[in-house]
Amino acid sequence: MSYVYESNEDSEDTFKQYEIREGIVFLVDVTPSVVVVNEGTSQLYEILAAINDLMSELIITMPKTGIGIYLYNCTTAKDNKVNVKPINSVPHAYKLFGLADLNIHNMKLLNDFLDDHRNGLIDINKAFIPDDPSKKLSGFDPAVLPKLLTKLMGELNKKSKYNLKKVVWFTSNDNPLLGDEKHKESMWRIINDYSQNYYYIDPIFLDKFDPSLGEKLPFDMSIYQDIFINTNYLNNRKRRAQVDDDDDSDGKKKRNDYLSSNSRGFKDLLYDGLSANSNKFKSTTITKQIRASIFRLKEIKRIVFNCNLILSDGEETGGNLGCTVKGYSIYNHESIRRTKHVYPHLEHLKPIYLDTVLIKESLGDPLELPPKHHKKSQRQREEEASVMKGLELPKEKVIYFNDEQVSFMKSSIFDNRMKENNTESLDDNNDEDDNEMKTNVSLSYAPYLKLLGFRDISNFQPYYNLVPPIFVTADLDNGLRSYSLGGGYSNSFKTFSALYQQCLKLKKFALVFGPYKRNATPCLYGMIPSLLTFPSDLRFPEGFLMVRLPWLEDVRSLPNDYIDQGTAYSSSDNELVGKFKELINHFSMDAIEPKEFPNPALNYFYLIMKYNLLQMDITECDLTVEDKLKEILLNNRQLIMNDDTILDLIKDIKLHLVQELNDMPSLVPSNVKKSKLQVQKTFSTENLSPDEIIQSCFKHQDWKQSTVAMLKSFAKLKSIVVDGKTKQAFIDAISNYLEGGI
Amino acid sequence: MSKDFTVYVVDLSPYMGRESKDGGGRLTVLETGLKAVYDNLNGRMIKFRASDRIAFVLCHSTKTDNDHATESSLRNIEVIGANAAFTYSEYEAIHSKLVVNSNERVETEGSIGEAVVVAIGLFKATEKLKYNRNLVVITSSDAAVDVELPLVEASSNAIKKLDISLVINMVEAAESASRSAEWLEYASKLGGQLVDAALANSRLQHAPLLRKVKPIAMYQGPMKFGPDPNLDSADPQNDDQFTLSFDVCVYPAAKIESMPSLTLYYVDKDTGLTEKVKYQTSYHIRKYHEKEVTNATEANDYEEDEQQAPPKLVDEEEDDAFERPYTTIPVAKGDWEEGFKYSTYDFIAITKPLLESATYSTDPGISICAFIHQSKVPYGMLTEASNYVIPSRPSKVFCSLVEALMQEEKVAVAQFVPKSDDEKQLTVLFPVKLQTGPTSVVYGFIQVRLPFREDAKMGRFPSLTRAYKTLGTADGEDNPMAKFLPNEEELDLMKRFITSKDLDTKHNKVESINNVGNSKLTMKDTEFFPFPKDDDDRVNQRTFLQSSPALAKYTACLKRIIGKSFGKDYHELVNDKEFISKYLLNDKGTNLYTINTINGVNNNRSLDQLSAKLIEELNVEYVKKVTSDGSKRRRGDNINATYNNMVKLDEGNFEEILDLEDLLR
Repeated sequence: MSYVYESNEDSEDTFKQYEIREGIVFLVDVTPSVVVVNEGTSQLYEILAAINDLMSELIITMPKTGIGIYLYNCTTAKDNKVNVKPINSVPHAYKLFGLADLNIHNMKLLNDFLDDHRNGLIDINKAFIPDDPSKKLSGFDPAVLPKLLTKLMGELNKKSKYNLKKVVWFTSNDNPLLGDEKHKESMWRIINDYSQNYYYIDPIFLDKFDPSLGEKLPFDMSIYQDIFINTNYLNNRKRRAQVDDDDDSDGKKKRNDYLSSNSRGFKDLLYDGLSANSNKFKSTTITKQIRASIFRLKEIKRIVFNCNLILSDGEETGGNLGCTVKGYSIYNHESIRRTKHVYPHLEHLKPIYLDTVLIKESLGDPLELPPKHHKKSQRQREEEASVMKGLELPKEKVIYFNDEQVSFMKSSIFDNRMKENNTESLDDNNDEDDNEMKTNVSLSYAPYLKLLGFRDISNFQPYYNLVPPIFVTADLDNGLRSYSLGGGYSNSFKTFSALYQQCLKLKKFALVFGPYKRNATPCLYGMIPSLLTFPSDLRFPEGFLMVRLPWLEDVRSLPNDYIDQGTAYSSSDNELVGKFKELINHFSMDAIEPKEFPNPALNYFYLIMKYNLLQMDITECDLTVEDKLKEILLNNRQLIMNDDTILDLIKDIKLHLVQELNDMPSLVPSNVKKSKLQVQKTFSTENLSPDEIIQSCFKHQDWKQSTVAMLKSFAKLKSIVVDGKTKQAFIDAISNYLEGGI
Repeated sequence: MSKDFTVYVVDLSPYMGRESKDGGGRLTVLETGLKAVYDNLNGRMIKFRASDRIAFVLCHSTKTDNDHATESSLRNIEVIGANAAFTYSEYEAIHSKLVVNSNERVETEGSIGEAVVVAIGLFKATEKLKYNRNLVVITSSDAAVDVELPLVEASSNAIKKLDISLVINMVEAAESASRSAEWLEYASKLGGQLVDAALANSRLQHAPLLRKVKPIAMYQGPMKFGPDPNLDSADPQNDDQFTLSFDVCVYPAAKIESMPSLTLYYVDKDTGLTEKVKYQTSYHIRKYHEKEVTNATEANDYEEDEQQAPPKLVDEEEDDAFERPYTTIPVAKGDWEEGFKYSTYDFIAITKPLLESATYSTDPGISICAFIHQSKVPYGMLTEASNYVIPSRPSKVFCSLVEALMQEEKVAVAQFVPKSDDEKQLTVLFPVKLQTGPTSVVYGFIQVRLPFREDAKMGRFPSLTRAYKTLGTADGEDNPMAKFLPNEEELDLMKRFITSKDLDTKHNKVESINNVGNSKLTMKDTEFFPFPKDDDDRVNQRTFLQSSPALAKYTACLKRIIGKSFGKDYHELVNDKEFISKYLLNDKGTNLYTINTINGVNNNRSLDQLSAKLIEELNVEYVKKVTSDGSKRRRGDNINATYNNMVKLDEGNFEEILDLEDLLR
């Protein structure tokens, strides 16, 4: 694989800007509780081990994520074997590594640290000496936390490449400021600043232990509630909610105006903040759940499309009922694809770049295109240089089109007879103006989705699947923030929610039609309410799953042998069916969860690459990767071997299989290719000249032993005109010739 | 895919010049009859296969040219083509010949029936070659068959022997002598199909030609239950008493069909001469100039961060490359190695031994892991194109397994490795009955891939039903959208809206979830006419399977322009300012998807009122975006403008290719 800069005008980059690049800073308050060993592990070890695993997973799925790890309120032990660095101007604070894109250097640092701990070379829980806030003389300084957060803020400000920044803050100290009002005020101010910048702070309150007794102590949330709730941290959301109430004053129709306050678009949706009811403030996180809370961080969204879902039709209503929706990719197969060409002859590997020029095929003359211009695409420049898209008809007749003509042929427009309104009139209360602005629009241009109707979910057949489904939810911006849309429907969320709720209740799926992107070909889709198909225990988000339905052209046929053979492939045996039913019930599975099935091939590849980058000797490394499928197969085998009832079933069925094989070995359909060993020579070609072989092949009507080279030279020798280059073309032409001759 | 040999017998007698019954007064009988022929030939121009053969046998031609003619018989039967690939120039030539010969018939002239015999003679010459043989007769209900009985019998025998598929495309003239009965008898004697040309033309417009793609097995070998995963499952030696093994084949069940692709040509603006162009690639590496330190104090401030950043192993193009000047050094093609970008900072050259050592070794095969209730497999988890898994030979045991699963409403979860060292796939096997005929089925599985852990890209989304979030955050947290949830009244309205737009009727219920059937599944060869088969009606209406309207429109446009290009200067034609409206627009209008087609299904007064009420209750309004300077035009706006003009040309009456009526019948 390589990077090729294609001039593919069909690629739509409109949504590229939405790709989320996260920078996550882990902040660990090293309290005495954090290093208490309980049931063989400590909170600190769990946190670091989980981050380590998270990084290994993110390197595969989202390699551009930034990670940094900071520890504070501690000092390093004197025999410091841990590679941590103090932070300038903040005493008692260290970083394992600063916020940077995932890389092998940092991964190794953390991994070595944990390895050394496991191998007994160091003890993580003793490497840091926590400042004990309960003993003032231990060096505990309540100013460290505000100082560190301010310092972190500076660092986050600097890393502009991350468009979503998070601080995950672990603490088990419920009195971090020792009641100092001055520090509390500065904390308020800092948290306010974080919220202003949309830096998300995710505090995780850990169980607090008595270090000597190992007993759990009560955790007092009040200081954190005070800090988070009495600042602007929540206000963004409150403001949004209030708009609706304010608007309803003069009996005029409520207009769904959360849009205007929702100025940060998608960030708001991602930026969760905290609320007074948050579970976070209700209980602490126990050690075992640390992993789950860290792994929730890898949740990401990938937007696929943004378009209008037109619900209504009819002479009068037209397409005026609808909602604007967004589609997100939820599953796509990760493969090893980040390869590109590199130049190996210098000190460092250098990436190879490509330059492409258009040339005339026959002469090799480069074509001169008009100079680059920011308003012109490559294709537009090509068209200006008289490069058209065409089709060669047999032979040497070319029909070609300009881009407008091609667009016409590829476009698909829906006639809707919609009434529309300009955003400008939103602020305009003059009714006359309003009416004037309203015009009847009769056509919707791609992208759009159009509702055809609803069907019962029992009528959904999932068999002809083509592509992964797309998760569809309401566009909270009503389409007004999209580059690809000319407009959108107001109150999309409400309409969408009502549609979802009632489809779920009635067990219906919606049949929709349309191109969801400007350049997409229109297709039929089944929109299934997510909880109608995902068991509720999977906790799948609410929305519709849009499944592409096939066109007749997409469906593939069976080989002719199967179509011809009538009922030969459909006779079952009642006794055997009974036996299989019994067997099936011994190997039942309750649910399939992708998260339980890591991809062994992918993980193995990354593991080997990691060892290679670290220049480790592979023969000495642990090369096992989790292979759940293999595990299941091994378990099944154990079950069969150890359970006599199952073994008897298998033996019984096996007898039938053997019997069957003996009874009808001759019924192999011709479409099944015989293996090399099975191909029997129908005639011998030993000691024959190529000419004789061809004559012989013709006589037996079996051309297996002829080669293309043989046929080619034969045709040339006898001046036979051949149409085409395939072996069959030669065989046909030669057959024709020989037929005439015999 | 086997080759085609198609012979068209075209009647050019004077009665072919009469007005056709279904042509709306504008088309002659001959024009109506030839529509299907031109559609087929235009299609062959777009998807050219050099091995196909086309021949024409013209009846009542102005010339006699056939091997069997004597002075007193088979006059005016002209044979064209047959020995070489059918090219554009030949097409153009034949196109000009397919006009009515208004001369009266003479006594010695060959009849249509005799022309059919001549056509069969053409097939006979290639008897030993493997061809799909099609014989298409274009004639009118005014024509007489006029052939002796022994010749009919001989023809019938030859048609059977050579496996010729015969279609008689019959055009009803407006004032017809109506010899349809005579033709029907003739067609049935020859084992052919008598087709009403008007019906054929409308079918062609709605459903373009279907092409059979030759099924090629992607895997052949054992499907096992209870194998030892440490042993190669493809090796029969490893079948022990604990393992069940079935021989199966895996064929693709669905693949996205793409549009015929266009290539780039340089067109001389004056002469219209075309020349193919291509992209030529050259390769280089970049040498960056030394970085300048711009701001000393700033650099000092973050000194520690600079230290922390690991050294880059490779110069990267992103981030700072924009600002850094560089010179390029050319590199010869192939003078490189594959590199793998592990992270932003870490690059590794992948040598062959390294790649081999990094491949997780697997053996091909299907191994069943477990069984799960069909309802526990979320449709949303089906990720890739489906495959058919069918037994290599008829097997009662295999069928019994499928039957048992269907009765238990369960599906199998299996590991699938198509080829040695391919990555393992987690798949689900749905037990199905593939309908191959009105009464016959093939028991098999449909296999679809499921996602692995790394493939799931979940996100947080606002709950649509509750005042708190569902995923990602703990229950009890606020949903910022809770204020905008619909109330009971609005929900009730939506419920009524959904029930009144119900597409399920009594007769299109899925009888059994396990039955799969459609005309494409059982298609044996590429079809000349896409006529509905007897079993079509039973299955299609349930599955909403139909031809892609976009593909239909695109190919229809290409076909139309081929048809209109004969005898004209193409350069002049394509540069016509009104090219689109003159040549690409169908005389019926532009739009494929229109309010009328949808209205056909579910338009009624009460639904209209319901929609209006919903609009009011939910306060829905289509709001058009206005750009700040009012001048920003989006890409494609000019096309929209063209379209608007198009539509002004012809409002109201649209091409109805998306025919829902048909689907719901």
